Amino acid sequence: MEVFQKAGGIMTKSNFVIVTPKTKVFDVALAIINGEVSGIPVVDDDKKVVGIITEFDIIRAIKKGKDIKVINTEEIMTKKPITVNEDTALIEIVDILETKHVIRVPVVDKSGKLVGIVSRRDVLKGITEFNGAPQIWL
Amino acid sequence: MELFKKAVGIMTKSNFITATPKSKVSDIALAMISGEVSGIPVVDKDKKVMGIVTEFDIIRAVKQGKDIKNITTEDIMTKNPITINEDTPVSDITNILETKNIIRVMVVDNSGKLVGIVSRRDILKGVTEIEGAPQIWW
Repeated sequence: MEVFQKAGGIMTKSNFVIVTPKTKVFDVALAIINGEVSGIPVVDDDKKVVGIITEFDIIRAIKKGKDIKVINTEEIMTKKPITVNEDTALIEIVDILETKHVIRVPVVDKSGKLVGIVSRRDVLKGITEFNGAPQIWL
Repeated sequence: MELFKKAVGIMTKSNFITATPKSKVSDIALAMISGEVSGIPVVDKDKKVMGIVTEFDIIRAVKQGKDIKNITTEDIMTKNPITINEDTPVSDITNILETKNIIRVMVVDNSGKLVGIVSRRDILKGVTEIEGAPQIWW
């Protein structure tokens, strides 16, 4: 149970979508729709986290009249997003999600490389596992 | 294309989860995890909207030391949530989602009965359809 109390114990470690700063926003929109995710980490060639791009960033861009087939992720992403590491306490992550109104935080190693994501969903899964609920086999 | 400019053209009309004020919060947590949704409308017997319950409401309850097996939705839901109707323009919906920091808003008829939900995802789908993107067949 102890493991659930840190980011390392509840984070999504694999099978998630990432993009680069040069990814076309239109492709990101499709990835968000098809992948059923609401936000995607933006990484450079070394897998270092350089931003995060969300559904709402794209909606906002369209509202401003930008053509999402022409613009790249780096033009609308949030640069230098808040990150946590594998040892960040769950309680601290909950505070970040609540006070910053964010849905997810990327988890990075010491060099800033992406190693996972913790979303509200991951926190909820961790909590219900605590309570002995039936689990989805992932 | 005109259709996409109002709630009715982009809302999710069927196949979404609803809860009642008496639903156990632990059941809501499982519905969210299994159904891959982050928020669920709470309706009474006449399908009138009573509230909304989100992932974060549950996380907050657990953080406060509540036992989610023993509390019901009405204990933690947001009462009297913002609702819209089928004719609400998408630009108004976008403003609501942005200024209120919310992910979705419920669509009700004249009597306050739930007829659909518009989420950020629905808006993104609507706008990419306008752009002629390949679509998922629903």
